[in-house]
Amino acid sequence: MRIGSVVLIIASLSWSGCASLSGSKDQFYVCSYDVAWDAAVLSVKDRPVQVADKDKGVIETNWVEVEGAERTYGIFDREGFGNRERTRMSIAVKRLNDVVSFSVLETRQRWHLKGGVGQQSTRWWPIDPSEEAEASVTDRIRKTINEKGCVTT
Amino acid sequence: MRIRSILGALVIASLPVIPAWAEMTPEEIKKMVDEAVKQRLEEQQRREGGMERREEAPPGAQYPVPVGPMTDVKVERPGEERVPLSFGSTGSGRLVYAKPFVAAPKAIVGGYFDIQYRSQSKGSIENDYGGTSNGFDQQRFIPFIYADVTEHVKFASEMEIEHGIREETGSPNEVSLEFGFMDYLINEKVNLRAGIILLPIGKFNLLHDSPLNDLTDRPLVSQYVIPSTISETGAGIYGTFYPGRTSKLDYELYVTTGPCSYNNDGTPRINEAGGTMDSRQRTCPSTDGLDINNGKAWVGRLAYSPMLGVEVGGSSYYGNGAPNGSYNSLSISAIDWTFQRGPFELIGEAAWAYARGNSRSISSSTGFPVGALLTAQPGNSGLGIPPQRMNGYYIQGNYHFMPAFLTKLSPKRFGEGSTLTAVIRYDRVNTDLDNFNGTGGFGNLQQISFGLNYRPIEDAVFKISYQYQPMAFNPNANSGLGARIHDNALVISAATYF
Repeated sequence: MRIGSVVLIIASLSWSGCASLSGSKDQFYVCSYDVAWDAAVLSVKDRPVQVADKDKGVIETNWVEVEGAERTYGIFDREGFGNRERTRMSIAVKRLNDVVSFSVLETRQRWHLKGGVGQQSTRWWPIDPSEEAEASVTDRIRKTINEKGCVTT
Repeated sequence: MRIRSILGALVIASLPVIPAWAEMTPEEIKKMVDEAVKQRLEEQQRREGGMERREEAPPGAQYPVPVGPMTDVKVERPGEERVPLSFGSTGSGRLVYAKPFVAAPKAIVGGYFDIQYRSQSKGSIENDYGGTSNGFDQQRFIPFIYADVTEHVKFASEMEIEHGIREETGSPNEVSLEFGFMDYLINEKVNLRAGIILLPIGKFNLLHDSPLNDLTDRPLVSQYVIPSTISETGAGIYGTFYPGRTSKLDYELYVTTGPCSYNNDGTPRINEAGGTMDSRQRTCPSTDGLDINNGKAWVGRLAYSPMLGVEVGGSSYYGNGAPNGSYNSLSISAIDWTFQRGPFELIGEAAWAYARGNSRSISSSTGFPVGALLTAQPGNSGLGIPPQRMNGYYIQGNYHFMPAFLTKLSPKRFGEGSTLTAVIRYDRVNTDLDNFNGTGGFGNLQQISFGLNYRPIEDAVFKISYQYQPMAFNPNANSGLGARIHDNALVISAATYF
């Protein structure tokens, strides 16, 4: 059945995609979990925190709206739907004996990514995360951790 | 300085003779004269400035003429601008401008346009006139209006004018409201929508604009099995959940006016040649826009994106398409997928439709007893039995690139923001899975498309594609019932948002 084959291909692509497109960057430190957790919490203190579960090692901030890159609309370069973007940061802290790992990932979306005003267009669309924003959080964690005497593996 | 002295003398001469002068000190008199001179100088400067401005003013109107706030229109008498727009408002013919979107502009007017040239090897383009092999077509001119009414209330609409405005009726040349709805945003998880809604069956129906698509022609499955563009009047909810760190779940669920699967005489409108195309309300003989029965249709789509660049969606539509007194449902189910990785994209969708009881008579006015097998129905091959089951799918690969030598050659035309896209798509559709007469049916189609397009900016595109159709249908064949053919076509088009 050809349709069945198509579904199978899609499922396998989706499965492999999950493994290959995670997007986050992990960093490892020789450090106690408590120190690592505090550093992670401190790194997103400028954002509203939605989830901070120390047992699971997950911190998720709420959405924060920011001004995105300027984008005009149509062939007349009109200002149409604005440049609104919003970001959300999530940090996963994992422990393995004396080593802790941090995984920092930003989720970024843009209001009205492209096209006209179809009912799919005027909503938040996922876009690539900002490497600068992720690096900023990662740097804060590194700085705090280093001040506490922990070292990078 | 000279002017100041002259003015001083004139001022002193013009000052009224006041007896009190005798009592004033020389300093007070000097101060009074200085103030008077200063006042005269300022008056003179104002006059000269005014003359200069008049000299600089253009002799006639310059375009664009700056437009002031349209709220001024209402201000015909003091205080009227504070009266909210209602039946209590007064005014002359200018009241037509007293609309919120004019008084406080929150509406965006735009649209898109496309034009194509098509050359086919067989004369299969122009139906009813024996067929031509090439021609121009201005297929879609679509103005839209979008309005942020408030932070929580949004309005969007799209007018569709296809093939120019034509006078002939009963053809697919359309002037219609493709969609027009109001949203009430509650939160991201649940929002309300009501109006003429694009039905979320598959993904293509929701994102069908010509400038968005990398090939000129829509996928066959999105024409025959999912009759894009399909929109119906209704209401429902939509929203988004975030079940994981990187995942996203979008849903839409609506109840709408149901399908129109039958003509007034009870003959089916779903056939091999057109698939489900004529089951849309916009093509229905019912002229009031209302359903042809008391039933409604349900439609919903669930799309899961485990991470950025990956999305798999499932959707379904179900409604009674028969007039009151009969119940023959039309159901369409679809899955769609999108994978993006760097410059590569793999997109597509597959759909299945089931028109229950479509091959049997629902009324004696068809010339067949109720329940009898229909034969010799137009748009169907062989014995002319209308189909009940159909399916189809497409898979499309896109590769976005821009050669460095082109950018070097002309940075303005091939620089940042511009892109070339190579496209390949495979289409397969069969609008009569019940057909066993050996002809394969009119809607047993297969097509491979190779395309290349150039986007100077994201919102405008020039496309060229070659289509090879190992299995095609020629409605203009001499038999009068069409014939199975091998065809191929060159399609050149342009489309842009404006």
